[in-house]
Amino acid sequence: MRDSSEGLGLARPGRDSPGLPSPSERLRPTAFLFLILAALPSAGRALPLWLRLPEGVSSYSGRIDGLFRLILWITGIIFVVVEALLLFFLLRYRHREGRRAHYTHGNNRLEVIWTIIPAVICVVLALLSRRSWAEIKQQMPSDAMQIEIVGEQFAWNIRYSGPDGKLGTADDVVTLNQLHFPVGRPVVATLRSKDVIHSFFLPEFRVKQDAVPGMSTRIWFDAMRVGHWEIACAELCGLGHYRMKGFVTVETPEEFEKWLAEQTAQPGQAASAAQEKQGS
Amino acid sequence: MSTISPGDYAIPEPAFEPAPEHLPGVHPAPTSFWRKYIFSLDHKVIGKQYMFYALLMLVVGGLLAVLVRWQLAWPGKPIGFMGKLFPEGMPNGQMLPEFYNSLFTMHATIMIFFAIMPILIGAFGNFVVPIQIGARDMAFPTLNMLSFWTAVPAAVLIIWSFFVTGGAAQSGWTSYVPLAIVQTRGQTLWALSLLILGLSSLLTSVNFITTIINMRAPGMTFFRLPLTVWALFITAILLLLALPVLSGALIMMIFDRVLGTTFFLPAGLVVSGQPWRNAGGGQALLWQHLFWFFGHPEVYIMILPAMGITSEVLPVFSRKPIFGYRAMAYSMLGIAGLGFIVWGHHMFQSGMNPLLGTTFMISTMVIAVPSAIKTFNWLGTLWGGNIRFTTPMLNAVSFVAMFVIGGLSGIFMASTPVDIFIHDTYFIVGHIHYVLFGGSLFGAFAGLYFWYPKMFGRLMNETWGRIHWAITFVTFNCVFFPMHFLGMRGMQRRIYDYSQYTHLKGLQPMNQFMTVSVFVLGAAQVILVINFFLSMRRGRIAGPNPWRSNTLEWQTSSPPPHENFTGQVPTVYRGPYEYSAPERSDDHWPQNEPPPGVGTAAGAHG
Repeated sequence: MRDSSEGLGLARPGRDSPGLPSPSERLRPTAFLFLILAALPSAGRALPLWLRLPEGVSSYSGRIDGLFRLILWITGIIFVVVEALLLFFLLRYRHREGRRAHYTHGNNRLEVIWTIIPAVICVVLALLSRRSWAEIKQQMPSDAMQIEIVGEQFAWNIRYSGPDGKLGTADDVVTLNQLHFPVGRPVVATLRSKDVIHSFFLPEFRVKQDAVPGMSTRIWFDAMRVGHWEIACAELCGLGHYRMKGFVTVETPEEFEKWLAEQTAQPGQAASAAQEKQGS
Repeated sequence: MSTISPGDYAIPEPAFEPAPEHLPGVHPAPTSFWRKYIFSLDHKVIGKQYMFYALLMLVVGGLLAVLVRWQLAWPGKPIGFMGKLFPEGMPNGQMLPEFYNSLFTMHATIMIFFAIMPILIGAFGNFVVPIQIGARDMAFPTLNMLSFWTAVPAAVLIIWSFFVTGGAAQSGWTSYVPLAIVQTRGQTLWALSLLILGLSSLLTSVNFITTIINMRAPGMTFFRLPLTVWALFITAILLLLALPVLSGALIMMIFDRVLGTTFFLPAGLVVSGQPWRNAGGGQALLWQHLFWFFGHPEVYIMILPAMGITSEVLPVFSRKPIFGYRAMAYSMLGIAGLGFIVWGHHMFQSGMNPLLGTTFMISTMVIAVPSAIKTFNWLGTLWGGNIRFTTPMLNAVSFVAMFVIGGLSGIFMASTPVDIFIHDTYFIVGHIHYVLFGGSLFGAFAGLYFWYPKMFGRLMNETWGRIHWAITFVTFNCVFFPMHFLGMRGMQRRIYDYSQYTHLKGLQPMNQFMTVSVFVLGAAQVILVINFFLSMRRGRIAGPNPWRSNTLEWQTSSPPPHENFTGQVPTVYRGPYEYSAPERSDDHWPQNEPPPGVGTAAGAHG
């Protein structure tokens, strides 16, 4: 997240070029441009909060943010060029008495160029996205902690394996709206819903997955540091959609074990209530 | 590329032309008030009826949006008089969450189905297409009348749903199940209304396709069609193929709600602690697949006609042929074809197999290409032109400028990993408004100012038109551009009170700025309404061709006579955008003007 220039390959100022005949003069504007491009991401940190992505705390949030920034750069440049051309043409070719418009029906070479360039950009973006997508949504880590998350109007039931280390047994721990997990170890969550579609959204973790009734969907995430965050519902689920909020606590493995043991010792009201509906 | 030499085809025999009321495909001019203004068969009257219908619904949809924005700027702050209008949804003027859900659901439904589609397809399509192709009316005038009068009860039903117990539909315009099935009664009215409206659109699309294929004037080959006609032709095909899927899904939804079927309801559904009465065997994601199989072509149904209008207006006011006519037509065909294989990009986070997500990402990236081609061709059209900034032109250029933003922001959500974060956030809301308001609505404004003189015989006031455009353009961006920032902060869409969340703290000032901008944006539309009605009486007399345009609708009087062209229908000799041709001193060259040495003046001018 912090090292935002990493994924872009843009920040490489001051390339030395010994063999060129008139090096410094011709390269100065280019180097200058590279310097600006390199400086911009760090300048981004000085931007007001609302112009930035939220902090990223999962191990793949940096990759998603990198892709976001890459697309922001590409579309940003296209945007500036196209809008500048538009404005320039509007000013340059505005009506003047006695002028006659240039009579042309088009240019096939230009058509080919502006078909191929966007096509190449889009295919490259698709290829770059494909790998991250597969790693985030398709390939589940093997040594992960398994939990189950069941959405209902308007709460998140989160089920942990109890002392026996297995999910779906009698000693499971169920909490309401409390997601705890240890730092550094991936979590694989099975998402379900009792009633309508909800969407499990952890903004800072760059996690979003719908919880669909009648379906089980597996996702994984992890945290790179300890802290407190929130679960949001991102899919309209009824009148209480806006307050379907949960809490995320990432702690050290020891703290987590301690917390889990406390839950096992005295399961709260919500937990036992949710346990009754184990069959869902 | 679309010019031809005079010898390219045979000039039709000057045939005996019967009186207009006996012409094939032309109904006699009506005399009674009812047949002339209410149950009219005349495509021009029906076009105007659609226009009033759409503008009225545009106002309704806009007011709903203002209420949504009010809640977002000042959550929970009461509006006294609204308590009287909606005692159930806004007791003492304070908005309830379920009423808020109704507001954005109905805002989107009304804008999409009852404002944008009727103004682009119903109003401009009906009014312009038959005259532009040199026909005397649509192929099926009675069917055309039925289309409009089917759309009216649909609108009545959707407005009425606000006042039934439990209020209007509140599960979003996408009405994802099971939420839409466990909802209040308004949802059934919503589905019924769209079912009826779908029938109306289906009739219209059949009519357009038949008309464009069969009723073109002599010499009007497909590649001499104005791009508006191309756009509406492709739109009609999209409607014909996509709408029945929505209708089928709506019928299933109504059955699930009313008759106890379980198309969309999986087993074990527990709602508010009670097992749902009819659950088992259904699939919740089936609705999303069906809805978006319709819904994505629908997006193009709403943007293609606006692209057509823009392609019409830019050459006229640049005094240049459109750049790459065939590329424009083919790219629209490409958009239409690809539009049917990208629906899954709305479902990346839905639980659909992630592998499918990859294929939909690739097809989605590919569909960006024809849109890019169109944008570059519009730029090419402006290049080297002799540009006049009339109100239609200002709005058409705004279409191009804003569509670029809407198109580019689409790349973000096409990338599956990026979509994980921005899906269902305000980033998406920003994107769709840049396409539908910045795109479709600016296109509609361009068309309105452009064809108004043809419709009513008088020009709209140019100064007030410019003021309306300037305020709309600036405030539009003030309202919708910050939505991208909200989305980047992770602000979910359809959320009644964002102050609940830590990650959304500090967003209220921006939301207030957007809401204040909405007030100005809404107020600016009053200028348009006043200009629209005052100009009917007070506007400058337009004459047949105020813009010195080439296409056939400008080669007849304004407004055109009942049978569109007095005397014979015109014969077409060239493409629609022959502006500033070097062999002529005049910078326009009407499609029906015989080349030197061919024929006589017969049928050339009405």
